[in-house]
Amino acid sequence: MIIRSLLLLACLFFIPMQAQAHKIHVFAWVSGDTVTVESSFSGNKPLLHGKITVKDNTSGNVLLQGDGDDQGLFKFTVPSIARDNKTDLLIVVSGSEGHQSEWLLPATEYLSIENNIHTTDHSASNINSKELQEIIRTIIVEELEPIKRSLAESKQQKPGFSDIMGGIGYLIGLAGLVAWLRNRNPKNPKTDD
Amino acid sequence: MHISEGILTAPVLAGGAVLTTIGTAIGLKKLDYDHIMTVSLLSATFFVASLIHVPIGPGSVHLLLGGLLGLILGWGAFPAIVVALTLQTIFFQYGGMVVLGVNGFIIAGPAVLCGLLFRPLPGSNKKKLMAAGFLAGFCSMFLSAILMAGALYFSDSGFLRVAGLVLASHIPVMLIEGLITMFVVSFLARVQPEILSLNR
Repeated sequence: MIIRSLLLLACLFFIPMQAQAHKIHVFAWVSGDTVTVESSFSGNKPLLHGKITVKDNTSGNVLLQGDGDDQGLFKFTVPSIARDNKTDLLIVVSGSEGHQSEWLLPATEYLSIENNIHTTDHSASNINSKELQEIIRTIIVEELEPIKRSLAESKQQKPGFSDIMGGIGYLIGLAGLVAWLRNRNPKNPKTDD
Repeated sequence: MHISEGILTAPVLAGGAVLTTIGTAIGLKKLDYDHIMTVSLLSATFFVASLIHVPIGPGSVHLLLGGLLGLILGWGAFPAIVVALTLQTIFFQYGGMVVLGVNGFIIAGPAVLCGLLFRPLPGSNKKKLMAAGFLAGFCSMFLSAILMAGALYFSDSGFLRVAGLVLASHIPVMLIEGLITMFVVSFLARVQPEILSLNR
């Protein structure tokens, strides 16, 4: 009976559940020479005015700092020092209540599209193949931006149904294990208090 | 209510770890192993309750139901909460292994305290039971918010701003916790009164 009523209680909690929780999600993507950082709580609630710190991943030096806006977005251009040294950028986002998450942006991600920003002044008549390549690259970068964003988003782990069921299973299994260990030893018979 | 890794300083982390270890040890010693399944199911309730997000107020807060665990399990709430927190850390990356001690104490400490303070006396009437449930739920969340603000303060200054923010963002959830605990306690008192006398 105890178990039945508690199971009912546990089941009740599944009804309103939408796997929302108290953890900051960060993702960052590059377009041109601009890095956009988006931070939110799970459930797509943007983190308002989070504090963003961009660090050199190897040395830990702070390259730049700033605050996110109302949409939880923060944009910055890759610092020239990072570009020169080809450093991976560690983007740390902290909220005000002890929450902090980070996102690693490898140097290869921003270096590969760095050249695209120099594509200007193309008259339709005399485009050589090199310039054409540049133009195509720019367009591809623009087109890929939403895809990169959703890829970055999908890297975030959210508690799924199987995680939750697994957790509950672990807890019940653990109790079973403890009960079994307590009752296995005949020298330690079950006592009734 | 889950402080992330890399925010707290070493003394705070160590202090939290020590307190949680002591609490868990006492909890395991006092645990009535005949009711291990109840402990485990309440642990599961806490595990799931943390996923329920309360979309009111400035921050992003969730339920804990520490007061309910404290009322039913007493000291047993300590191991129940710590085990569930560990699983949340592994499965959902909430908080972190290093911060487990601090987070455990922030949640389980007030739960046990409120459970012991407000546990209903045998034969108390329905009104008293409901009041005990509400107070346990409300106060455990309130104390957890204060402990959390304290942990943040000892790692970094700016206490008043953080404390104000933490408390303000938890006020709606304190009321909701109080109400949920109140209804669960009165429901249990009706269908399964002996469960409320486990905490002795």
